[in-house]
Amino acid sequence: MNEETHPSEQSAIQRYRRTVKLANTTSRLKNLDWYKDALELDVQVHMYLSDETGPDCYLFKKSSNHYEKLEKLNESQLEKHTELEKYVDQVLELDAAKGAKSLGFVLYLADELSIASLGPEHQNPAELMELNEMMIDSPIEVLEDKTVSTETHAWNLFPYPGAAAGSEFATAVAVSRKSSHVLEILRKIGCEKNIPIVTSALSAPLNAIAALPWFVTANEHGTIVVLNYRKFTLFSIMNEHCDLMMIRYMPHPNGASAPSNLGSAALATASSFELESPEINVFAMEGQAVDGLIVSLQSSMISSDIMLVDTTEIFKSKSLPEDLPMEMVATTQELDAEVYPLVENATFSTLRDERWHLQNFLHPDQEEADMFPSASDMNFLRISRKVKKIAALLLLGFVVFAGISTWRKMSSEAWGFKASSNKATASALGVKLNQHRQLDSLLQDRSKAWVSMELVQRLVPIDGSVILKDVNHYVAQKPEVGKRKYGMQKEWVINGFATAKGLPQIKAFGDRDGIKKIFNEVAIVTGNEAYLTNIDKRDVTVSFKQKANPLFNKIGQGGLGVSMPHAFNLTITQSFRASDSLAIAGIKKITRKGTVKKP
Amino acid sequence: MNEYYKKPVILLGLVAPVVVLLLLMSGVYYGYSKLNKSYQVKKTTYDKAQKARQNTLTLQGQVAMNNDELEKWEGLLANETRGTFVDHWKEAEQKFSGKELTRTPHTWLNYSPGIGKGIKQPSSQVTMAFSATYRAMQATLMEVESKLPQMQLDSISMKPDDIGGRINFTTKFTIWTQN
Repeated sequence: MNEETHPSEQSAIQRYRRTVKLANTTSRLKNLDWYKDALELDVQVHMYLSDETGPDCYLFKKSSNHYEKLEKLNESQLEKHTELEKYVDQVLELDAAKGAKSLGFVLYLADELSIASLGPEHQNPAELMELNEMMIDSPIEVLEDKTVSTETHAWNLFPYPGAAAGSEFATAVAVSRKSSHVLEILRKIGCEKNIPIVTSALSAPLNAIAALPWFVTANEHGTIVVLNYRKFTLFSIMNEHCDLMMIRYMPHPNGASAPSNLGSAALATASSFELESPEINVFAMEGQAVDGLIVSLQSSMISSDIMLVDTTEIFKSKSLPEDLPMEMVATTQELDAEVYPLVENATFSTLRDERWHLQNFLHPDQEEADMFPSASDMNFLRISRKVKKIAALLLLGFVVFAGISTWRKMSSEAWGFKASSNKATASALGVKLNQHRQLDSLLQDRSKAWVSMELVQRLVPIDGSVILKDVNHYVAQKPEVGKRKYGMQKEWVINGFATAKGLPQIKAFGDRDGIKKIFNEVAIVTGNEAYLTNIDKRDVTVSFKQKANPLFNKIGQGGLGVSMPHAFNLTITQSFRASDSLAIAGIKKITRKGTVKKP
Repeated sequence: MNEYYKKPVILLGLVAPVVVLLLLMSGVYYGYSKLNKSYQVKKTTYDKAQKARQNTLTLQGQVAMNNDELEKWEGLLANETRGTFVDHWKEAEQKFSGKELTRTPHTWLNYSPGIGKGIKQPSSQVTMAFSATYRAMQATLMEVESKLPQMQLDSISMKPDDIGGRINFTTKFTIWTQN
């Protein structure tokens, strides 16, 4: 895969492979500094470029608020990749930069500035943000002057928060693109070293304006700030609240340290804003002599207080390096509003919140930006890797679970079991059990002659007052439809004679309680359960009939019982249901009540 | 997201692998479910067989427990014939004199119209008549009925004899016989 191929010429798979390769072979996946602004990084190199001799350089470590002046980079070094690489290596070897996981390069362009007015069709302050976006893509559409170059210069907007209604509310600011290649080399070095090197090119004068709350205060007559650079001077005209109304750019004639006719220009500008005697603050941005400039101002602005601001004293009081460019203060320090109330006015709060002075003029071009996936792409790749890991772990877990479960099942007895019928064995055993059950039932003591005789014997008193004529005892089946056993009915029909003494004795068995009592006695004496009356639904009924003995005669001759005046009939019936334990088992199927199907 | 990398990263970095993993998981799940169903069928068969085996063991235990008793009963039914039946009576009668107990000839039916009627177990019915004292008759019946539990009384009638102070007994027994 060619790393230099633009993604537009690659297939989706190649673009994905490039993303994965960058994620695997560089720190772009893990180090989010690749996608941050240079001023957000912990270790920053601030390069202050005011002329062709090359930039002064300063190291700033954000976490420790540490400043360190570095070796100046000359024009020759800026042109060469190897020299810049050496410089980066030197920076990374500094104590303050050791272990840095990224490096921000902030270039202050103090060597050149252009400003231009917006076109007449773009005079609506409410469209400021949209206009700024248009400035990046197609500045000529926005500018009044359609002949400006967008090839050689980069354009941004800068607002005038103090502008009166109907006045210019913003200006277009341009810087040269000639330093773009230096920043591009630095970014390439970062790619080669796999350490994020993020660049930002700022306009020095705009940051100098943003740093003004450190050095000036609001004046009821208005304020003019004169920023004297080596090649140009910038006027900032502020109202009584110290809000920026306009900036005016004045180039220096060849070799001069100040513009010609500065005083008259200042007077004209002050007059146009109706500032009669504004306070004038002069900044010698690079420490050069500004006497002539001040004299020029004094000659025109007679009633104004003109002050040369000494930044070194203020930096000293704040424990900052005395030779620090004041623009760096705007990018690296935050001001306490209680000490510097100016930071809360419209101009400086807008700059702080909307970062107009921190606009990067020299962005990597779109082609360079397209070569690398964005932070969102990398973040999505990181999330997708986690999702894939989780999904793979779930799959692995499930496979392991299913594997163990399968192994257990396949090694169980049930898995290899081959069914064999044991019905024949069970059937044979069942037959045996049924045989036992049937014989056990059939052989029970349900109907014994000797026990029946015991019952009859106990009905008759031993004193001879009762004589039995005949006794008939029958046992018969008592089928019940749908039952698997036969119930049973026993009957005793007893005829006899009794004397007056014997009659009440035999009659005592003529009720249910009396006969049950004698049945239970028989059961206990003989051990025969058939005579127990309190089992299941057994029932014992009895009927007793008496009459005069027709054979009775007082002589007592003529046969059995003739001497006894009373005759009786005692009929006892005992019933057993099909549910009784003595019911007869093993019956043939009953088709209707009382009939038996013949085999 | 960078438009050049957005779709490749989403589709190839997440969607495609997740789809592949889901397909794999579905495959594993399908295979596992199929095996599980097969196992459930085998397990049900195995459990049924185990239950049947347990039941057989229980039956075997019961049969073993009843075996002696069953053999004794079956022997009783198999060995007792009409001839041996009479022998038991004769043996019991010897304890009494002829004045106390006299047995008249008995009659057999090859089926039982009494307790044995409609019962699967084969049976026959014997009708017997005795002239005996009450005590002798009861003692003889107790002895024979105790020896031969296959005897089930269908009926008994008792009527005093006009002479000799004895009682005439007529008995009908169902006798369970061998299959």
